[in-house]
Amino acid sequence: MFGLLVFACVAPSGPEVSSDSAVGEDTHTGDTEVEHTGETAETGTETGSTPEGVLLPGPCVALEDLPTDPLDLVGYVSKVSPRDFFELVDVEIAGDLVYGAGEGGLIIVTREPSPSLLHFDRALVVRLHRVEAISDTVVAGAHRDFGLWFFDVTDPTAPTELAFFPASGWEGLARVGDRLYVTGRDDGLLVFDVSDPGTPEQLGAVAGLVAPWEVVSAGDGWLYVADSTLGVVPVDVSDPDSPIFGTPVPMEGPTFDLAVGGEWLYAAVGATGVVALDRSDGAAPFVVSTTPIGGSALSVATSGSRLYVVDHESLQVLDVVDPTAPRALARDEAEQYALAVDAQGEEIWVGDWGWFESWHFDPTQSAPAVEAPVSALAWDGGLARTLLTNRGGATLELVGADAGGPEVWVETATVPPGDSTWLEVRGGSGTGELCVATNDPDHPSLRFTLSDDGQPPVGALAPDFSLEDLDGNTWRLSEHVGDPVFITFFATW
Amino acid sequence: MYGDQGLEVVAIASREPDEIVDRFAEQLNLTLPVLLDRDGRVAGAFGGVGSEATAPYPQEWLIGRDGRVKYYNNELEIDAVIAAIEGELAAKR
Repeated sequence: MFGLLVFACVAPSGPEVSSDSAVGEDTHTGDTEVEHTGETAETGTETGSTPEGVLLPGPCVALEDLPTDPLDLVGYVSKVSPRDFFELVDVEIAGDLVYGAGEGGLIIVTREPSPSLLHFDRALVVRLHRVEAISDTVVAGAHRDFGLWFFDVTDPTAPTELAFFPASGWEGLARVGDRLYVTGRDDGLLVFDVSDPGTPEQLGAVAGLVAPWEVVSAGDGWLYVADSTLGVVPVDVSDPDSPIFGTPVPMEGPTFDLAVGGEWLYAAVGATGVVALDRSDGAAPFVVSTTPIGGSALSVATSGSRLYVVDHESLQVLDVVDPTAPRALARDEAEQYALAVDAQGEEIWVGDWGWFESWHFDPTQSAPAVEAPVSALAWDGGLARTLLTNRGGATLELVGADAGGPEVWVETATVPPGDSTWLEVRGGSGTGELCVATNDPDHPSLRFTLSDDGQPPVGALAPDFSLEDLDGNTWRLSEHVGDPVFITFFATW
Repeated sequence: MYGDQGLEVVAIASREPDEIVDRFAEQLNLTLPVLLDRDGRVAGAFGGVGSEATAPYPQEWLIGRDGRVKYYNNELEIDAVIAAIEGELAAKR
């Protein structure tokens, strides 16, 4: 169970501290002159549901000695002009290059920690949804409304079109030997002969899919289709030209992506999270674990005993040495929206809305990674609450907090990897700010706004921000102090 | 309207593709700065849930000369907005 953090200091005018549970470690560094009290208490008399908890002492002071974040953005390519954005919805590592599918069609970068952009040109094809390397010199790209292209990438700075198959609803791609399998909403699973990659030939199709997003090969005569309606669909391709659909394994949410790790299959299933399946019987995979990741799991990749997943807000690393019990290892927030991921070893490539990113995971380092669903908390009957989850590989410690007066309580101040604690600010109202000091190297002082409706109230300092305008110029609010500023948030819909 | 009296006006589009916002601004002949809050973080800081803005559109905020929130509104109440702007412009620097 959770260790309880108990501070044995006694303030002159504070309450007596008594403890009838195990004493946790005092992990403060260097603030011996600060007087603090901590107590475990049952406060069930206040309301029917106020549970036991730990009072976080003030002040909110960042620790001096923080662990090293094992997950690092090591390089990226960003847009070529202010008007461009990548919106990378698929990425694939292939030899010395990394391919991306997004706005600008086929996007090619060098596979280096600081990648160079080799190709990004809407003139070739405006946008793609999937890419798949066919050979060293041929890449296939699918657009779900227009069809399937084959490109010659002998010169990766200037790909040329080899072939185009117009179609509607084609998207998922998996190359297996001399065959390329393509998923189609209406057409089912299509088979292409790519024994000569320069002259692909469509062989046939087997109907039976509803809303396929992607298909992956397990390399042993089995394909698996991620279908957001049917779930995980096994396909027998022991006879490569005659695919046979197996029985779909329904998922609790939309299945967006799949990754194969030997006898295991991992599915990105939106808000449900990551689902691991045992596929030792290729025809009949079955679910062994479901792991929520905080956001909507969109894309997964696996390498060795590690699983990499992106969910719009973040890139996460999970240890799947035991797929029946995946363990959190690391989480970092995405630069904009993280949409796609591929990985080899500790080298991770993330397709983001704006950036094509190269990340690295260092398994010798371990740190906590605190995740809170919101940053603006609203008072509800004098209480402001949030959940804090540790998505890192080391224990998260909440070492202090300051809400400008009201007490800050947590269920536990020591959160093991993968676990959560509620946090409650008690007895407040109106404007305020909450600061929580943690040992998360990315969030040594975690900040929340407090208000009656979750918005910065009248009288509070407006949150500073800087954004680009349509011409690529930066506009920063704090540069306009001295003039009144009128901001209107609008939508085009 | 109040621009020459020192009022800065900006429009912010959250979580929308640049091109769509661009076309929208062109169609409406918008001359004010249109800022791209691509990942919704600014909308979130002004009252969304995380990076999702949950308030209905349009959402208006008036920030005073001192950088503090003076007025905000989730509906287009022109009179109240004008009153707030005029009040703020009249305030001493």
